[in-house]
Amino acid sequence: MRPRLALLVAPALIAAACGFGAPGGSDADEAAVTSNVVSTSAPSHDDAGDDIAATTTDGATEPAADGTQLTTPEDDAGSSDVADATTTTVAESGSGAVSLEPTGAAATFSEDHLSLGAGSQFVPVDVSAYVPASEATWLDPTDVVLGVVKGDVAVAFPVMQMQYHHIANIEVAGEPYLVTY
Amino acid sequence: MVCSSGVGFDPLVDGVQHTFDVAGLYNGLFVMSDRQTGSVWTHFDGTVLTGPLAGTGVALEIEPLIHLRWGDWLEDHPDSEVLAWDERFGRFYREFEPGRPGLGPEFQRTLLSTDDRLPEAELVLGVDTGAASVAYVLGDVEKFTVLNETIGGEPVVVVLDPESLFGIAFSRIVDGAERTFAAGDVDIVDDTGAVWNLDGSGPGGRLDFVTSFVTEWYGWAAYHPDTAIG
Repeated sequence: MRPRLALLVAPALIAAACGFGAPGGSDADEAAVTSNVVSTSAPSHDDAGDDIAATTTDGATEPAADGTQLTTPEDDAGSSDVADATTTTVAESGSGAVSLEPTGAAATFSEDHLSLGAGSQFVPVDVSAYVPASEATWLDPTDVVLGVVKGDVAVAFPVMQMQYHHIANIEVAGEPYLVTY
Repeated sequence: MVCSSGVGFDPLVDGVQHTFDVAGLYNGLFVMSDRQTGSVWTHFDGTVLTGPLAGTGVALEIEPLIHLRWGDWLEDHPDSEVLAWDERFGRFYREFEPGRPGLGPEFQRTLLSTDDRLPEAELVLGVDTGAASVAYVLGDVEKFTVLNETIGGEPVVVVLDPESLFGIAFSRIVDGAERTFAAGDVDIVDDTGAVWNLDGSGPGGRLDFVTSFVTEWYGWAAYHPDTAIG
């Protein structure tokens, strides 16, 4: 029996996000968002039901339908002093000097092109719940997966699932790993 | 479609695991916020765009994430585990073939730039050495291909398998010496005879990963406007 979750109505539900909705995003116009302006809209994906199901992201574990043992999600570190998070990256000038210059996308950040709130209904994977390959009966050989290899351990994250979750905050072989799609 | 970009990271920041949620869109792709500080990060290169950690020089280290078809993955890793099907979200899971065209306006309006050298949704292996970027079009090769490149002055081996939608890049410097590589059956072999798996591991140790991942052209070009095409 499937657990029935309490509906959580988020203040801003935006339909369009990666891998979501019909090609071209025909319904997405109604869900347009500009920076700091939010609107509500039902998800426009193909299988949209009437209820907008969401789940709390406090890492609460529920047993998998097949009884797979789930790992307990790690507590957020919380109290880290972020002011001391001064891991520096070498500026791309290649001078070799350590600097705090923003690199990559951060170097050309334009707030006008940031749309916060979009995709907030997508729930990341927070539990390292894995099954043996033989039990992955929902996968066809042509389905694309995202694979992580750590020593002898290999874990596949199917795009079929990650196109919804977008993020997996998990561990592989006991080491923290972040999958994004 | 959109994105189709799988990027893996070491989520440790200053030794502390950071965990993330989807936060919005930026320059055509989703951005994420960490639960520890609420900073907004791009998953395309692991840098902080805005928020408390912006300007501190913090960035996530990109790690190999193997993008390929399940059948091929299983051949390489028969003992692999798979992310469990979470029935709570079952109705949102669906078949997804990367590279289908169609970019909605809510994405387009966040783009900093567009680049019509290639079609929007063309699948490429984006390679970024830090000094230079190159996009290799998967559809331009017919079979499993190994290229010995020099990118931004750096010797790089680029591996492409168009049928499996796979691509990856590593440094060709091994133990301080530059090597050349060729295709094996399901792996690559260098000119000393050393064999390397597609994730870079091998009996000889580990090849140095060069930031590389399969993605759609529009996103790669938006984040790397100076990119060359391989």
